[in-house]
Amino acid sequence: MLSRSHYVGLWLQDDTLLRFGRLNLPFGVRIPEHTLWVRESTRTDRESDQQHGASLTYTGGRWRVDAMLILGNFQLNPDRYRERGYATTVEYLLDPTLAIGASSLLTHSQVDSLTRVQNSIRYSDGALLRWGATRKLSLLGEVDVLKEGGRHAGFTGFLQADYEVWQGVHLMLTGEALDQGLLEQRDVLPQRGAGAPRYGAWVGIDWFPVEHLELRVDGVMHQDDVFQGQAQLHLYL
Amino acid sequence: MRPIPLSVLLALASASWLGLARATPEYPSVIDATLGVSCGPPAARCLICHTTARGGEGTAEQPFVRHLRLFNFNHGHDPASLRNALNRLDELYDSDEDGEPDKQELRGCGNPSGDDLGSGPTYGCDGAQLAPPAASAAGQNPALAALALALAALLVKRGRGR
Repeated sequence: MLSRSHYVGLWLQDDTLLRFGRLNLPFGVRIPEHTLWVRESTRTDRESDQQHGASLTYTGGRWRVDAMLILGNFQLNPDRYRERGYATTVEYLLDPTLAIGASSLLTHSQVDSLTRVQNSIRYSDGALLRWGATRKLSLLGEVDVLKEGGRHAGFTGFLQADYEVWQGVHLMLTGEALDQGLLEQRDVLPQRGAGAPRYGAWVGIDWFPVEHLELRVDGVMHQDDVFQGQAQLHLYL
Repeated sequence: MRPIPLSVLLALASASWLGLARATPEYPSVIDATLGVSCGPPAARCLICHTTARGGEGTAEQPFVRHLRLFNFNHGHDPASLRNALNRLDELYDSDEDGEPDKQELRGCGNPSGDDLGSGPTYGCDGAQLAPPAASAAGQNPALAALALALAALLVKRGRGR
């Protein structure tokens, strides 16, 4: 059995929730496109980047604050690969359809499970935007500074426009950028995505024909990569 | 609720017939096949070329793949290009300068870009390891398409009944 997210929660007040368990990291805009560079490079997607820890969430008035103490992914063995640290997002509603926010993440592991860098520290700090510009058009955006062990600082970001052509049919256009930072090694030249920016775009149609059913088709175009088309069929209980 | 036409069901069925989207997990298998070895599929082997086991564009920066670029191997999803580059690789070239040539290290299931990778982290209670899925001929799953079509038809029928 696989469980990505599970927790025990305690309402400290009507607007304050304390949770212990395996949780999505509170960082950036929570989007389903887990392969967007902002989610992959910060390791904060909702697909496979959950960690165990304690989270305190406050949602009151115009504020939303979510802070998590990361104790490690205990589905990952041995312990030297587990990250410890924190992740947090603070968001403020300028008006009912416009939210701005900031996120921060800092982790340490004895050995980075993905890069194998020893005594690895990585951090990300960024800003986010969620805007219901009109009844049919919404915008999501995020930009983050990146720094991980073995690399100089970099950045990543995205901007997504979602236009509901008619009820249940969304046209989506997304632009993204990534420079994860130049490797801290000799004789390494900058290349797109590492020491120089790489750009990409998604074009998608998201269709909800009936309740509990979603069909989504995307075309993904990244510099120096082949065009990728993908289709997803989601059935919701 | 408006009735959904048959074209919708056909679109849903065809969409579920499309192949899986993935990175280039077959590259370790291409290396094995080209050099006549079988080193297994652990995701850790992606670190031979990539700086992260997740792979991806912009992370192919290890010493071994930097040398392969000299043979016009410079992007993913192109097994033929990797095979060509490996065939043109000099038998004595040593990317990490550890005294063992790259091809010899690869035939020994080692890492020509640096320290041996070992098995890497394991997942879950039974020590499972992430492995790239085996590449099927087309990636389609007719049973999945049939199930999706049946469930979609059920949902449409429920929608019409309201």
